[in-house]
Amino acid sequence: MQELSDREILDQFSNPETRNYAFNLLVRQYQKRLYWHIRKMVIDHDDTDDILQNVFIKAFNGLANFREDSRIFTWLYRIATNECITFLNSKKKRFFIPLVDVENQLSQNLENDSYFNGDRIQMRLQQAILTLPEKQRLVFNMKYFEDMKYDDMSEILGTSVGALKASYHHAVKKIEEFMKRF
Amino acid sequence: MKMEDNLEPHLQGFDRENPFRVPDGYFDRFPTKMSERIVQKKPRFTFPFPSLLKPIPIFVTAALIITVGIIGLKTFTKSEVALSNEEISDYVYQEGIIDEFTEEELLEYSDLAFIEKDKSTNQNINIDDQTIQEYLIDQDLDEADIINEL
Repeated sequence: MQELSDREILDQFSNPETRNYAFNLLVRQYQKRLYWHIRKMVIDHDDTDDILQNVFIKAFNGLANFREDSRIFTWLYRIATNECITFLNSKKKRFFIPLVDVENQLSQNLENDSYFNGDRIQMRLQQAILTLPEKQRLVFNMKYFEDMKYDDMSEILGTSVGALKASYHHAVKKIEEFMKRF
Repeated sequence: MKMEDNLEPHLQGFDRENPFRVPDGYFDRFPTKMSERIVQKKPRFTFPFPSLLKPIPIFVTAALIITVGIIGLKTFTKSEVALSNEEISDYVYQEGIIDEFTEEELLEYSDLAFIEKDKSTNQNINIDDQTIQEYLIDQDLDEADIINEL
């Protein structure tokens, strides 16, 4: 699929005749990247599907007023990240469970997830990642699996590049410790 | 060597391949599902300067309180209208209200109320003739009028 530039998407979206078409192209262009970004945070496919729909609905509502001081790609990632954090926080509040138990619950979901293809090592790696604090988990996933640039991560997470590098460093150390016990 | 360059060897041996999968055809169906959700839906207008809207609820609340206060004051406060003696007198005579009062009641509220007062205290009233004549002149009355009234 040929990717459209931000300008092309915005131009087509601003025209009522081509708005839905432009939005469809936007969804096709970013759905996979956003899906995996969300999925690695919330683990469950159905939760990911709900969050992804919310992300695109918010994008549809906000795209007309999108200011081009950032790229659509980082803007969408920012919405998706915020939606993930909101979802995880609401889960904690809804069930009155502390953070560590949410991660345990996600880990159990992973073991029972019929849409998880990984072997035992990959399962262990995912469980190690789930022991990290939310922000470190985001940073690790974005860097390790998505190979995202620190500058882009900085724009999405609103954190300095230096702090992101330190966060990634701590995450890797913790995962390494966890895997040694395996 | 940069810090993050040292990190990758620690995770060597772990497959970076995505271990998750999605239901068959999920990404083919998803754009259609989104199109159905936004069909007929127009993008919501959002004010480009939301910080300017923040004080509005405060002003609206203040205006509402003031309006309710003014309406309440107008509704529940008795209006006091200052009327002159002439206006009261005209009203009493025109409406025939005068007939509803006894002579004693009229005296009580008239300029001659002091007479009644003195009666109630059993004090003698010492008014000389000259005072009475001056009073009658002030009130533009003559003896004939008084006799006619009697």
